[in-house]
Amino acid sequence: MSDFKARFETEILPHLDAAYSLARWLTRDENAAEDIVQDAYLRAFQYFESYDAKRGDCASRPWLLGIVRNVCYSWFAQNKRSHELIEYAEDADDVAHILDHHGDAKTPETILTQVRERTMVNAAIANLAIPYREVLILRELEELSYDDIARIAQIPIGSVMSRLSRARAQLRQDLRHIC
Amino acid sequence: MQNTEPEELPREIKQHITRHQAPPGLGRRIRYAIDATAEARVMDGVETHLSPAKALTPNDKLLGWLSAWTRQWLSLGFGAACGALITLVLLYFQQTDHAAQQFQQQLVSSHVHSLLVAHKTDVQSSDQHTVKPWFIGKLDYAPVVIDLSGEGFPLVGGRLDYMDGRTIAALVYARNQHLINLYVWPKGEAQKLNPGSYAKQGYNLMGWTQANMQFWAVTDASEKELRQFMGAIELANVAKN
Repeated sequence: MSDFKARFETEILPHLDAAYSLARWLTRDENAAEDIVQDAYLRAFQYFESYDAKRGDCASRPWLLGIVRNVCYSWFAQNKRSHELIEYAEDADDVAHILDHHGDAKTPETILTQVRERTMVNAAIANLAIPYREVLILRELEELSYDDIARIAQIPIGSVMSRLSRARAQLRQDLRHIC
Repeated sequence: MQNTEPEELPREIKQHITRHQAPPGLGRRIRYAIDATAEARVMDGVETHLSPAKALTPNDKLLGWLSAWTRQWLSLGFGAACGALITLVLLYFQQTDHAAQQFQQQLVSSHVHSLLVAHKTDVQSSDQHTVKPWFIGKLDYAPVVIDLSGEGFPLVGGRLDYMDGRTIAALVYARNQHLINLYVWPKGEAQKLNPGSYAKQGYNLMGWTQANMQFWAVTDASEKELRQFMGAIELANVAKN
């Protein structure tokens, strides 16, 4: 037992920040992110044995992030925020749409401090629709492969690419004054 | 793959994306929760194939000793029959013991889990007339819900839980800084654990039956307080009927 638990602790617990960061980005809610990460870890612990036995080339970080992501989606469902998902669930990649974002794009040069830029970048990402946000975060922050992202988000690689491309285009557009 | 790499984000943007850090204490809470789960796994026997060198329980030892004894001293046929009978009886006791242990563990795990997952209550109210109707339609029985503020055990709320293979009512009471989970469900056929007072992993457990219901209370409050709590519930139940 202690051996099994020790392996879980040395291999999975170090991904705590990655797990929390993803949950926080997806839910945009500190408290929910904590609960979700804790729940995800308990699930991971339950599944760890079967994962460990046949992990193949699936590294532990993307595996854990997949669980975190699923717990986040359950949370969306419970919190009746499914409209955010349904809105984009079907063929969202092919539908041209304009994401709503803060209209204050023309910020005076004088306030373009590091801190403000950071705030604006983060606000712009937080404003992306969830399917775009999750792909962007997994790629830009967690630097996962397209394969891993496709597995986690449960979409084909082509969709990962198009969502990522769209998310980046949106950010470039929203943040053009700081580039 | 014919997909082309999506155009990269400019460095000016990318450098600013915040990778949130887990709040202090989250890792510790997770470890704690995992310890509780791990314990439950062992009790459930999930781990047995992983740890062949698991220490023999007194029952195992007794079993081995007795079956050796019968083999040596009794004639083959009779001995085998006797051995089988004794084995069956012992297995029965062992299983009963195992079931009791498992049941205790279930109670403690549920209590710990309710404290950890910020899921103490589904319906949060100190008003018994709000909590009791909440259970209607969710359970096939009506749990007794009594506020004991007057006795120093204010009702915090209630939730559904899963115990012993069925959905049951869990009522949450407060005692100073401590919480008491009170699980209530109809007195079943055979009870896994005899009513009484137990201590497990630093938690106090107390079980009793009244008016065809069984009650199990789990808390980190003292055993004395738990007894007071049991008394208060029993009294209130009597007064109600």
